Amino acid sequence: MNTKEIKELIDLLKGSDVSEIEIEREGVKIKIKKGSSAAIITPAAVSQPVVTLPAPVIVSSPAAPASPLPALKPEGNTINSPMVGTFYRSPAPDSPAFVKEGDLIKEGQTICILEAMKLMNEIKAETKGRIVKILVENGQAVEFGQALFVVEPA
Amino acid sequence: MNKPDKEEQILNLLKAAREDYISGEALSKKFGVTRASIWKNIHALMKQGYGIERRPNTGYKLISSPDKVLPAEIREGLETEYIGRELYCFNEAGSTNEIAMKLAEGAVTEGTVVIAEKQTAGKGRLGRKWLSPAGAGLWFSIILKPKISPQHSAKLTFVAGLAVLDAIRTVSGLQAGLKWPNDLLVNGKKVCGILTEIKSGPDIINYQVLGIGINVNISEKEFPEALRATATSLAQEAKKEVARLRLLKEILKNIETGYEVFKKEGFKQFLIRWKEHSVTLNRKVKVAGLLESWEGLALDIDEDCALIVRLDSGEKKRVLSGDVS
Repeated sequence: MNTKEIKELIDLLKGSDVSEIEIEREGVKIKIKKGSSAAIITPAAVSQPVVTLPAPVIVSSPAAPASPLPALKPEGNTINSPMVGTFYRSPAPDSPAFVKEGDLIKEGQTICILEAMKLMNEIKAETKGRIVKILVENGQAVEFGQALFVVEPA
Repeated sequence: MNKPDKEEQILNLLKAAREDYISGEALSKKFGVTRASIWKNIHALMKQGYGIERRPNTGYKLISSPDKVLPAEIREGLETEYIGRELYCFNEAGSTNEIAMKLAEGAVTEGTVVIAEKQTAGKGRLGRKWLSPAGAGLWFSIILKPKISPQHSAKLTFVAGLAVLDAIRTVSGLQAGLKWPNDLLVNGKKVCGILTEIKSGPDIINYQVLGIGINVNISEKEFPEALRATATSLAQEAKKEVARLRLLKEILKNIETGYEVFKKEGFKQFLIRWKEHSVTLNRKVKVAGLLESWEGLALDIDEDCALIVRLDSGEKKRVLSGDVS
């Protein structure tokens, strides 16, 4: 398979609803997946707070949902940080969040970015489920192993 | 175009022939194809910018090679084992990092390089754009597959920063400085940025893409006015054109050497050298994060590459990300 063919595949993917192509030929396997921007599912009605750089503005979370979560530690599993870094909910400060509380997530979907020293780690959901709670603020420093999301099977 | 194809093999034969002509017949015999098919390859090479003289009854001769990031030009004289041996060269691409991240999901070999003459959506930190005009810079991404935890992967970006610093000095004579976390400055202005992306599980990374952008021969007026105070190019600072392909090959070689040493001997010696060339340390700095910013004296860089700032209150702050000014 040459560059042209791969580029064609990528272009093909761009203009379609297909999110992933996997081809095996002559013992070479190539898998092309759509980038996060195309895979984001964002409810249109909810707008995200906008944070502007470089002013260090602390933005409060959106108002609590109508049915409040129990005050005790929420049920469900957590997705933990694989590294020390800074947590980002969106690819850029002025773009919509990857996920919001209540969102259903698919396996492989990007749910946040962690940054350390300009190294970006897009964290992807390992299984499908529902985001019950986001435990950290956009831009907050997180520790290794720190819980980022509470998720429940869906 | 990842491995030498017929077109590139013909080119290599023309290169090896130097002043001699190679007949269309000889080429068609060698590849077992028609002369028309050979002409199609020759024509494609000429379209890429190769100067090829075609003399009736004699054959073809290579007159000149273009200063372009083409596979044959990159491979010629490349002193690496595996970095840049598999190449994806684009005349124009959105973002080489994005392409590399997609390729890395497949069966590409470690050391694969994605490079573009021009990027239309060059990526910076936090969704920012990276200016990547055609023919004037090096915009490329290297796919590595180190068996390390995500915790350690930032160190490789420091290794890469040093590799670029050494290559710039060798090729242009300019002494760059390293600005935390991994920009390269010449005379206080930015010439290179490195944006790294990884895909990882909790314990080990799947792959790491080093995205490197270098302003090589960009003229001052090619920079938007808003950037002129903070960005420059090697050509502007050296006051002469800098050989782009030579610089690229030197960087690939240095990164391969550095990467091997890093895997065998660890990060310590790189950190020592990095600090020696740092332009951030021992200065009053302001680090702007998304939520907070800090001002103080840049004291040190710890073994995880974090910047240690002593705030005016005396408190020591360990910074992992942010814009330093």
